[in-house]
This record gives sequence, C-alpha cells and structure tokens, in this order.
Amino acid sequence: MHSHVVVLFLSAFLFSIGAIGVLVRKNAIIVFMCIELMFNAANLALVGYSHFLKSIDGVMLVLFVLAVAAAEAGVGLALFVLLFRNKGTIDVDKLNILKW
Amino acid sequence: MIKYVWLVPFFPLIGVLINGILGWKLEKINKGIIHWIACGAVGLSFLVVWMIFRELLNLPPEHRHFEIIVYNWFTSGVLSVNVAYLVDPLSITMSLFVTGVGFLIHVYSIGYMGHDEGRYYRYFTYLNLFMFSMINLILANNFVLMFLGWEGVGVCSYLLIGFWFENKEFASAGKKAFVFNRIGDFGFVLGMFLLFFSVGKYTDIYTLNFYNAMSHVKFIPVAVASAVGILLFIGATGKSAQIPLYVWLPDAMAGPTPVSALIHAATMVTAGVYMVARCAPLYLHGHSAMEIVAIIGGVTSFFAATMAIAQYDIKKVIAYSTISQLGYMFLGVGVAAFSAGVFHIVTHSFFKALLFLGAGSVIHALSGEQDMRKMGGLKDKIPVTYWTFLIACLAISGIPGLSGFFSKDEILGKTFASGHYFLWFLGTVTAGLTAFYMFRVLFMTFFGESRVEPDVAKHIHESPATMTVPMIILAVLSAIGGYIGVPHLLGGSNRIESFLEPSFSYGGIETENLFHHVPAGTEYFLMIIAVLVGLAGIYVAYLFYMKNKSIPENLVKKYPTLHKLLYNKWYIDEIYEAVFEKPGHFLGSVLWMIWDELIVDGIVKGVSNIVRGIGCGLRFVQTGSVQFYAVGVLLGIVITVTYFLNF
Amino acid sequence: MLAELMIPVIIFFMAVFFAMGSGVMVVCSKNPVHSALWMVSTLFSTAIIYLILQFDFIAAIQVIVYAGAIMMLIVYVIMLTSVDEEVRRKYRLRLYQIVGLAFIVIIFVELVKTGSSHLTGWEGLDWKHIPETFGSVKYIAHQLFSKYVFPFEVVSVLLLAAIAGSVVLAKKDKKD
Repeated sequence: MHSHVVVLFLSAFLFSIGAIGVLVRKNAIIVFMCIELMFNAANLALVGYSHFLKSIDGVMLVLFVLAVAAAEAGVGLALFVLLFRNKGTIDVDKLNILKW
Repeated sequence: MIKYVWLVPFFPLIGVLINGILGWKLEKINKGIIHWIACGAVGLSFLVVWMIFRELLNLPPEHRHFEIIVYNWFTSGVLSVNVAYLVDPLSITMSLFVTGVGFLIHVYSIGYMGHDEGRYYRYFTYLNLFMFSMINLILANNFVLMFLGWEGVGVCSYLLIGFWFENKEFASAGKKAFVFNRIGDFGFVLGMFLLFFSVGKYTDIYTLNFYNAMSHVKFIPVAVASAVGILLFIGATGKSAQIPLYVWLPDAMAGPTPVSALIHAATMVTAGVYMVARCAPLYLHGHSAMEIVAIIGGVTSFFAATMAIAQYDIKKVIAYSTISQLGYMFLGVGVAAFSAGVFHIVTHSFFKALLFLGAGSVIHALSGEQDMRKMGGLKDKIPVTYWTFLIACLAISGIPGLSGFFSKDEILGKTFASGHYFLWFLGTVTAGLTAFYMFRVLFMTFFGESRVEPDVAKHIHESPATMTVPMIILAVLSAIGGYIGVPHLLGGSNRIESFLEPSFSYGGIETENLFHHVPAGTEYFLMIIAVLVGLAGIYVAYLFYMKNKSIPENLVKKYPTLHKLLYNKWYIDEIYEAVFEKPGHFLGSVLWMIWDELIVDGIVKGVSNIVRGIGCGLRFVQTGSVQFYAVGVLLGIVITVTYFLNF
Repeated sequence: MLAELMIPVIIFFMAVFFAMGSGVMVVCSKNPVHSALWMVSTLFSTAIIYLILQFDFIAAIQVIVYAGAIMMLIVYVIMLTSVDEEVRRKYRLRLYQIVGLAFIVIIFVELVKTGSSHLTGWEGLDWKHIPETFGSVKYIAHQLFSKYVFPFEVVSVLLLAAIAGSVVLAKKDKKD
C-alpha cells in the first residue's frame, strides 16, 4: 500500500461528506462550500492518480478544475448576493418557487 | 454567330430581370421604357436567330447541326445534363417564327394593353419569361432542358390566362389550364424516364441528349419505343390541347387576346408537335405510337371543328379552330410527314396569330365585347382589321395561293399517300368545316347590319398603329408564307422539306415503305377536292349568314339536339366533371374526413396528447428544491460509478 | 535516520486525518463562518498532501486560489448575506434526502471496495520512482503552454465571461 491509496480513500471520504452536506444543509453558501469540497475530493483523486501513474495530465486537469471552480465561485456567489437582495434569504428550502 | 446561340434566350431573360425587378418603378416613371425593353429583347433575339439562320443556309445540309454547350447543369451518376443549345434546321425554323411572331405580338400588346394600369410591367415580364422558356424548349439539346422550357411556358400560360385574376372565372381558367398541363407533364416525365432507362439498358448509352438518344433508339424494342412515344405524346396532348386533354384551351381565352395569339395559338401549343417532330426517329421506330398520334390528331381536328361551328364567342371559335389545326399538325407528324407538320406549324402561326390579333382588334374596338351576336357591320368602321382578317380566313380555309393551302394540302396528301384514307376523309371534311366556321365569324362580325349596342357603337375606332402594323405584317406573311414549301407537283421545290429533312432522318430507321406512290393525277384530284370542299364551306357560310339568315335558325329548330350538342361542345366538360371531378371531389372528401381528420390528425394529436400526458405526470419531478435535483445527480453518479467499477 | 524518514509519513497521515476531520466539520458546523474556516483547514491539509506527493506548484495554487481567493470570497458573501447560525430543521429528513444518503453510501462503498484490494501493509510514500522535476513549475508550465495551450486559452475566456457575469449579476440596478 502506497500513499496514493490513502489519498484515494481520503478522496472518496471527502466526496461523500461533501455530498451529504449538499443534501442536508439549508444554507446555500454551505451547500456551495460542500460542492467545493467535492471538487477538492476530485482534485485529490486526480493528483493521487497522477502520482501513481507518473503522468502530469491529472495535475493539468486539476489546474483547469481550479480555474473553473474560481469562475464558478465568482458567478455563483454573485447569484447568492442577488438572491439575498431580492428574496431576503438564501435558505434552499424556501427557494423552491421554480417548480411545476 | 452560331456559337452565340445562347444570346437568343439570354435577351428575354434580361428583359424579365429588368422588368420583373424594377418594372413597378419604371411604370411610374414611363410606361414606354417597359415595352421598349420587352420588345427590344425579343427583337434582338429574332435578329440573332435570323443571323444564325442565314449562316446555316450557307452551310452544306449535312453540316447543319451544332450543339453549343453553355455549362454543365448537373451530373448525377451516369446522367449528365448540360445547359446546351441545339442548332439544326428544325430548331432554327421553330425559333425563327417564334421570335418573329413573338416580336410582332409584343409590339401589338403595346397598343392592346395600353389601358391596363398598374401591371403593365407584369404583363411584359410574363411575356418575356414566356419567350425565354419557349426558346429554351425549342433550342434545348436534351429532354431535361426542354422540360424546363416546357414547364416554364406552362407557368407563363397559367399566369397570363389568369392575368385579370380579380375575375374568379378567369383565375380558375388559369388553374384549369395548369392542371390539365400537369396531367400531360406527368406522361412526359414518365416518357423521359423510360427513354433514358431503355436506351441505357439496350445500348449502354445513358443520355437524354436528343441526337444521342434518337440515334440509338433503333436498338430498343418496338414495343418499348411505342410506350415511350405514347407517354411523351400524353405530354403533347396536354400542352397542345388534343383529345382528351384539350378542354383547357377554350377556357384559356380568358387571358388578354395577344396572349391567346402568342401562347395559345402560335407558339406554346405547337410545342407538342415540335416535340413529336424532335423525336421523329423514336416515333418512326415505335410506329404504333405514331399511329395513335395520327388518329388522335385527325379525330381532334374533326371534333374541334364541329364544336367551333356553334360558338358565339369570337375568341372561342378561334380557340376551337386552333385545336382543330393542331390536330392537323399531329395528323401530319403522325403519318411521318414531319416536315409537313412543322410547315403547318409555321403557316398556322402566321394566320392564327393574325386571326387572334384581328379578333383582339375587334374586341378592342367594341370596348371588350366578345359575343358575335352583338357585332356585325364592322367592315367599314375598322377596315384594316377587316382586310387582314379576311386574308387570315382565306389562308386558313385553304384557298390556293395563300399559305394555309400549301401546308394543309401537304398534310392531307401525305395522309392519303400513307394509306390513312379515313383520316384523310376526316381531314378533308374538317377543311370544309374550317372554311365554314371561319367565314361564319367573318360574316357575323364584319357584314350585315350592326347589332352593336348603342353606347358601345359610339366608341368604335380603328386600333392604333402598334396594333395594325403587326397585323399587316402577319397578313403579308399569311399570304406569302406558303411559298417556302410549294410542292413539286405545282412546280415548286418544297424548300422547307429539304431544309428540315436532316433533322428527322438521322435515326437510321427504314422509312421507304411509309408512303405509297401516288400518281400525279390523283394528287391533283385530292388537291382540287380539298379546295372545293373549302369553297363549299365558304359558300354555305355565305348562304347561312348573308343570304338567308333564317336557315341557321331553322336548322336549330329542326335539329335541336344536334345544335345543343355542338353548342355545349359535346358536353365534354360536363362529362369530365361527372367522371373525374365529382368522384375526385367525393374521394377527396372521404379522404379528408377519414384519412386526414381521423387517422393523420388522430396520430398527430394522439402523439401530442401522449407527450402532454407524460409531461403532466412528470412535472411533479420538478419540485423546485435544489437538493431534490442533487439526488438526481447522485443517482447518475451511482450508475456511472457502479458501471465503471464493476463491469 | 528512521526518524528522518518517518517525519514526512507522520505529516502525511496527520494531514489526511486533519482533512477528514475538518471535512466533517464543514458539514456539521451550524455557523457558516465556522464552516468556511473548517473548509480552509481542509484545503490546507490537502495542499500539504500535494506537497508531500511532490506537487509543489499545485499545492501553492491550492493555497493561493482556493484557500486564499475563493474562500475569501465566500466569507465576504457570508458577511453580505447571513452570519446567523442556521436553524436546525424541525422535521425529520425528507424521503428524497434519505434516498440521496443511500446513494452516497453506495458510492462510498463502491469506491472503497475498489481500493480495498490494495489495503495491504504500509509500504511507504513511494518517492523513489518520481523524477525530481515532475511536479515542478517549469515542467507544468512547459506542458501548459504546449500540449494544453488550447484548454488554457478556453479557460481564460471562461474566466473573462465569469468576471463579466458576476459584475453584471451583482451590481445594483440603477433604476430601482
């Protein structure tokens, strides 16, 4: 057993924890952070495999994931600000008017 | 000049583009620009054709054949179609009179349509478009380009018949013409396909080029050749108004009279005859098709003539006369007298165009009156029209010396020589009927006391020079046009026949036994009979409508059934209506209610209802809760992960 | 000697456990600010793991972009919106949430099951086979501007769009 196996376990764990957070938390920002956590778990897996396979491709993908995450954070958080300004709340349970 | 043959269709096309795109503007500025462009375009085409004709005459007969390829239209598998023009005696003869008569009628239209405000440009655009299509039809070196022209003239005919489309009757006359032409076109297309396929199958030469296909037509079985011939002839019956598809032509008189003269008398309706002549080797090979052409032609010419004698509308009489004369032409090509048929096309285009222009002039003078019962005594009021009309009547009646005599006699003589004695008899009787109904028109219109309605009578005037000059030119042509084909019997050399012959005889098919030798005495006898019958027709007309006007009325009283039958044109329209239209209408209603409403709409609506039902059920998936959607994403991940990690 | 070798291993495992612990805390904290801080700690621990795996550049980027920029932004937004502690749900989990949790368990089990065959004894950090320059800035830069130059450019356009998008979204409408 080498370090990358541990890294992969950590990745699976963080991914699941993040997913649970996405499912159960009400605060939209925390949900957002949990998504970032899942991103991070994916990054970990990529880095782990990159290390294991001695290929730089995984790391390059991590770089792009970081860039996309930054872009997503910019837009997503702007949306939360807008949402809070218009609705007065960012509770995902209350933000359910877009239905049938 | 021959290699510039593409200029012939090019000039009218330019006219179409200028008048079609800018015409509405030009009409507001000055009407003169429009007709100068339109007439100029056709005039230039005529000049080009004339020069080509001169050049062709200077060549030895066996070299009078050129194919000018403009560009490759399309290539699909073994079929390659060029936009290419064929210059040979036949096509040049046709285009010479088409552009010539077309030019005269364009000029005539200036006067005739002068009062039509607001769509003067449209009229001339259509007319030029017609010239473009007709020239393409004639000069095409392959079936596809010919079909383009064939359809183009059909469209122009439709547009011009329904030119005064506010009148619902006129508009539906246009539709009728179009529909009947479509039926014919269907046959034409099938014939084209079958020819392409069968020539390709038996000789491995896949082509729709006329010369190429016709030179190899002798290798396909006679039955197939006949089938091709019959299918193509169905197209010709539509375009050239023969039994059974002739009924559109009398109604086509709804269009402006110059249009009737140009399209429905002189040029377009002869396209069918031209096509049969163009495919001469095919018809010589498939002789049962040719037999059918001859029979249909002869019978049509007789029936149309009987219908013409009981009509009161001046244009309708001439229209039936056109059908009858077209029947003559088909009779001619149907007995393998191709050059006689084409000869009659040419002379007929002169005197029939003149008859229509004369009728148009009468109608113009009478402010739109077409009923001959309201005419009479116009001889002195519109003398130019009278004299030209008289010449045309004499020409069509086959009075010796005038053009109609030579061409008609040529056809009848060849019919007799080929052994079709009954058809010869029909043709001769028709000649008498023709003389009768034409002089009936002449006497009812120009002689006797005036039956014109008083308020119309005040405005009677001779037509302007733009109308009379073309008529005079056509009158001269009608008088002397026959001298291009004086038969050997009368000391001539039948120049048109020797000029045209190379266009028919290249197929390598034995034609020696088609005509029996007829002694000169018999030929003279036939000629005299035809002339006498014509004179008799004129005399009977004189007797009926000049000397003793009670005879026609007595005859009507004596034979009311016959008169009604003739007056109602043998009830053909009614029969067609009962046999085709009513069942078609019924079938349409049934299909509409059962197939369309129930099945097609049922399927369409059923599909939409199913989708809507599913949507109704599924919309509850859209809870609006982000976390609910996240579960969906997780489900996707579960499936992906399970699949990739286990399988 | 042994101790010297053991230090990175100890740091590695500490980072792993710390990442797990703070990951759990991100989800469990009532206060979003605490959540954010635990998140930073997770990211930091991950960065340490990257470092130990010899990806120094990625580790630096992780700290600068994630812990530095993105988490900064999140804290700002928390400040702009709601610093209040989240009110716990008064009701039980909904059916879909239970189903979702079941899915998560399945995913986790699947992932762990795949790796479980490697769950043998510890064999070390596996450094020897990796060349020195593997995760270096120079190497990554070389890759980024040669093989990955097209995605790189695309991402730059995406970031530009994100900048424009967030500005448009967050600015106050003057008409109101």
